[in-house]
Amino acid sequence: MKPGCVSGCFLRFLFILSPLLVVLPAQGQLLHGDSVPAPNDRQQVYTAGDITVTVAVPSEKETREIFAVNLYARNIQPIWIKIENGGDISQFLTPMGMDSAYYSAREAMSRSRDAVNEDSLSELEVSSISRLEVPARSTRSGYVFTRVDEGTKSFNVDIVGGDEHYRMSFFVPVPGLRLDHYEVDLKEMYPEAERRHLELAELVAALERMPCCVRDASGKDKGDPLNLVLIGQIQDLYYAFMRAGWDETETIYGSSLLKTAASALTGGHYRYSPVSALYVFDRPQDVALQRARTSIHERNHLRLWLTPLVHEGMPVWIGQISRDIGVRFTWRTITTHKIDPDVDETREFLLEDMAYAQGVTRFGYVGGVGAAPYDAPRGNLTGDPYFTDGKRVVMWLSGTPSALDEIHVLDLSPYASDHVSD
Amino acid sequence: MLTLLLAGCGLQPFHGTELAGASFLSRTITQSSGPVTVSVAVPDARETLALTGLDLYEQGIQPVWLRVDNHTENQARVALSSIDRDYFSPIEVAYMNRRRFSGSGYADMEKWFHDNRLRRMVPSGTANSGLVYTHLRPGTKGFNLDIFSGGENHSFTFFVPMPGFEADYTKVKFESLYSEDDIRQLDRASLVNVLLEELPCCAHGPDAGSDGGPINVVVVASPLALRRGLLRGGWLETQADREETEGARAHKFDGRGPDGIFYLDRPDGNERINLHLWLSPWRMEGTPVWVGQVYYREIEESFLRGLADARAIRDSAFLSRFMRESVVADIDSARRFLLQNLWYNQSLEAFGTVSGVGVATENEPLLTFDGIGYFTDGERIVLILSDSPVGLDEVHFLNYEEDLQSGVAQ
Repeated sequence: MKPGCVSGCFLRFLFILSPLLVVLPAQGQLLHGDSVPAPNDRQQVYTAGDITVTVAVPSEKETREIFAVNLYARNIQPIWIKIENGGDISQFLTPMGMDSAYYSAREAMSRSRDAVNEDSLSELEVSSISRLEVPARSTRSGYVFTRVDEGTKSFNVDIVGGDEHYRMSFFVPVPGLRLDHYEVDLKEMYPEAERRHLELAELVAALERMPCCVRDASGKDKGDPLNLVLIGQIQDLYYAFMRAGWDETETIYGSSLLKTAASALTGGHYRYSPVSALYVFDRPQDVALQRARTSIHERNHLRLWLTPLVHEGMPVWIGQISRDIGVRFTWRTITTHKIDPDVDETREFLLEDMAYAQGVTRFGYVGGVGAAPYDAPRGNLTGDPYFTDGKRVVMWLSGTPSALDEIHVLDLSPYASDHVSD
Repeated sequence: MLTLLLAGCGLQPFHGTELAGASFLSRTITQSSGPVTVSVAVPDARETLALTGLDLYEQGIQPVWLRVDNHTENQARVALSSIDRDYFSPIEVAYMNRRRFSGSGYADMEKWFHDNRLRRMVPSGTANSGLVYTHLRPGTKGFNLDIFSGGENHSFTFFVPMPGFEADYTKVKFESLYSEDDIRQLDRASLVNVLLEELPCCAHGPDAGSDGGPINVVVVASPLALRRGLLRGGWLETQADREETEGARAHKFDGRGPDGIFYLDRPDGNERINLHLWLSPWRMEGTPVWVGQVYYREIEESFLRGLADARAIRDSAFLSRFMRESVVADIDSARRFLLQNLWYNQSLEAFGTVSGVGVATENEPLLTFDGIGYFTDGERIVLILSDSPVGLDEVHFLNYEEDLQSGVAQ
């Protein structure tokens, strides 16, 4: 691939040397700035006002074909972006919104140096988005170099300038990873007759009657407590979690198990290690997410199940979260995670994590788990102990950012039933 | 010998120290926000070892002690995530260190960490105190803290000096750098004129006429706004009088090396971004104006770096390759990074660009007196920082060229 450098390079020079010489084209026409062709047809387009943004994410294979370098192997994932600014004022694209630690073209180069020839180096630089400004009535396209996300590449694009601002979130599937939420047909899970539309008081009562804990496949043994309730559409849930830095997980298959084991042994970064199945309502989790911290030993796992409950038109989810504080080796699944026995601490971490990512509008607490004090803990399915105050946190999630000072704390204690489920 | 043997076999008992009597608590710093009072203290590596028996600093973990007094009429929630988004949980820290201890030793250690944790919920009229385990931050321990009570948000920012670390800027006597007569009060428009006409392109080197690195940054900020902005952006401070910064200090403005050198490590690479700042004699609407340099620096210097030392090799293949490949030569990327860093950490109120550095291309680069080649579009960025957080979409872009033509500054 050769980017269109004939017009692009000339214009870039023009901008650098004498910005005042640029004569704006007539209304309705767009000046073509740096122009780099899209890597594939999996494009997503977002239009707001005078701004149109198109994005595409090349897979590992496509990236190798374009740049003749395996950038993915260096934890670098290019995002192709085109901004069409049809308005009368300059706009700014801030790549930091796409990845807070994005790489400049030369940083991407230097990380790939041993596998690269000079042509690839200049290819990377010529194809990258270097200037932030997109002048009035012009178009700009090129690559931003981010850290790798497998599966769905989720990122925000912020376009700022003048009095208008545009914040958009993109979710671009990238071939190569099977994800839990694609396997489950949520619409078909509960027929309308089984759904229960509940007011707040009835909702609290129903939540306290939900099972206390997850089960194993046989349904006999009890495991980790179900201490989370989320209220929101699946897309709101994904937007909020991805903004907070959570990733999807892969379902357990042979190859990923080996990757996890290798990662545990080397302390490497395999962000997408699979989780095992746990059971509620006689089925494994509908959604599994994880948030990696600095290595496989430091991550949080979260599993969710859709309930038949509906509140204010929104589906209600119940779930379990654990903080992994170490990895143990077992014969059956090769590895298993040692979880923090202070499950309430992990629950409060999640609430804060979502609140700081501006994903929560309301929250409160209900019972249903049953308390277990520090000196008389209960055990989960892998024999790890846990202790808890017995509460579930209920969070109302939002797909649009909700500032910290706008969160409502609901006192749900007037509706408490003190019921503890089995 | 017996201790060593026991340590090797994982049979050691755990002896936690009484937190209340720890010596580092004599260094507490206290701040109040209305009816909420917070005291903090941070043990250094040695004091952490004395307290826990564990070398947590070696593991990148820095405990922070807090006491929160809640005189509001509601229960208060201390948001631990506001201190460190990826804090370690107390039992996590214990479990990471389990191998040295016997079964009962580990149980004792886990209980010590659990008992000495900071509890989030502080009932009305009471106080909680305890430890939070954060990621180690070299130098002054700076962190934010949010406490929520009855729909009110109480926000704090702490800068806790650490024993044995003196940041370079603490050695500068800012009040005596300029006399009253030197200091010039400017408005936005006249500041732009001063920058265009009086600010030199570059720092100067040791010899007359030798150019140092280009001055490609101007920051308008109160000292506290500047410090908070750099903290929120993850910038680290430099210790005074260290050998590593000698090279940087040879670049001078107004006859002196930088008043403060800050840096930010880049992921997975051999570079960090350096920011050198000097207080200027100018004030914009009463606020200090800082001039500076932002550029990439290699942590381990590559062989190309030294070879660019003499002007005689300007035409050589070495310099040509350096200019084509070097991350360091691309100073404009560092400048763009700084702009976005302050923008996204909600410290930026407004920004604009002015010329003055001078254009240099890859084919005709400029060289500093100490042999760093660079190319640039010649712009310097003007960053106006805010004392309070600014939303991403509330930042103003100052179009200086147009302002000057129309004679009005925004």
